[in-house]
Amino acid sequence: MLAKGYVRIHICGGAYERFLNLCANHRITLWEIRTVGKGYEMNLALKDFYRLKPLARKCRTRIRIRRKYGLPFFLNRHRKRKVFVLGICCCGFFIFLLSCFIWNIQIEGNQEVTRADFMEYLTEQHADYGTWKNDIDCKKMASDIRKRFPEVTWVSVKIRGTSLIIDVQENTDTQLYEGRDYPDSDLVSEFDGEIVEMITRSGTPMVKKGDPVEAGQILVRGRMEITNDSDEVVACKYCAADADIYIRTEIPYRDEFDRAYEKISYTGKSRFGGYVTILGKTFGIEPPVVYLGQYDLLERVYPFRIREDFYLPLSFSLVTAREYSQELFLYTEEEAKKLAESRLHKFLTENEEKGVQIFEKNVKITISATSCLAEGKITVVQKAGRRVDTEYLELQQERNAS
Amino acid sequence: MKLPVFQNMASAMEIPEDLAKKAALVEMTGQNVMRIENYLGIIEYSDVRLLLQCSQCRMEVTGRDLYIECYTREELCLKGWIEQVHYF
Repeated sequence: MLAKGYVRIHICGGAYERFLNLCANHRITLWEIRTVGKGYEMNLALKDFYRLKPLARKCRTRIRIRRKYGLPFFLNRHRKRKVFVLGICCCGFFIFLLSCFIWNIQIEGNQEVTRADFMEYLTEQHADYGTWKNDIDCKKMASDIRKRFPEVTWVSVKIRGTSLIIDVQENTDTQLYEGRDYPDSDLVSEFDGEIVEMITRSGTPMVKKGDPVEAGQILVRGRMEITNDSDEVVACKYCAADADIYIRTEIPYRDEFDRAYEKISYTGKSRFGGYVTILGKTFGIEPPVVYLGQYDLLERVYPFRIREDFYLPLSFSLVTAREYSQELFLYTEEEAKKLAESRLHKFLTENEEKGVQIFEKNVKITISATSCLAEGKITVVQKAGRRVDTEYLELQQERNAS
Repeated sequence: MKLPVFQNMASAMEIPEDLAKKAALVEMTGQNVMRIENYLGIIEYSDVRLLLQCSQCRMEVTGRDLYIECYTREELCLKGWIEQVHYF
């Protein structure tokens, strides 16, 4: 209604109710009808206002305009400020134009494949910041990402506002992925140890449960040999070896750190600066750090967005330089031991998250005057099997034929 | 009471009363909002009283701070503090 404009009028004198009924009969919509003084006030559309004259004459009512609302009146009020209105229109058009590009890329669910890898891939595909939205085919991009990154098992690409949102799910298992063509390959061991469990799905197993293995040893060969009655190999069938192999192995652990450490304490003095980034270009003022001694910089970036997914190529950065002083401290024996244990625990937890089962740990912590050393061996059970190209066998028959 | 022939036919064919008898349709939400259809016109209106002419009767709505939110040929929406609705 604001686009077309409406007015609030006050009617008095004559027959008010007859006037209301006449308006209704002439298809004039009235709203917000209230009793004010000796008459009524009501709202009606601008185009209906021009039809009131004969009705008011019939009812002998007087009409006065109380207020005017809407674009027609706004434009009339500012008819001498054409440049202002033009500026508003240009601003609106500019924002509309910017909404046709991608200004924000969100990647969620990735662990093995880093954001930098994805951004490099998007740059190659001309789908990074500033890309025209219509140039991005989400379905094609999703299938291309799956082909490019084998670790990604599921991907969803969607555009919301000016944001390109990529959701991925990864699978770091070494087993074969469905629908993917693998070359003929063997599985070799990456480390020394003993086979704890082995389930072979395709290929020829070269070892069995309980066998000791060395790094580089073939565990499952991707070649199945067909022999005759004299045990001579007459034919070979090649495939991509596929198996679940778990090896118990010992991994060395060594962690040494100095007992002396520097602790940072902030003095409270700080200086501020700010930047504005528009379409990739940065303008601003650096914090005057000449007044500070040692300092660190903390930058907070505030991207400009109209709504949750409607980002614009404009951001503000607030940079804070905070002065600090460093003091030298020494870990006590207890603190050093505790720190060494927590670092060991973190190492073990990281390995467990990768699927490694910790079987036994044999780590000794030695504390000297200047350093703390945690050294030992950790026995783990982990999945093994690195894929290498299989060796093609030249058979006697082929040699005779040639 | 002997009903006219048309009304007998309408009730036999199960035609709704607001179509057959042009009865007023009143929808109330709590004590604050009243929506009325099938009326002929406003007889009297003030902030404490609204008198409507319906097809077969008159309807009087009394209350406090009454105002008409919208008024068209088909529908009237009355808001305010409605105390009484009277048909006569």
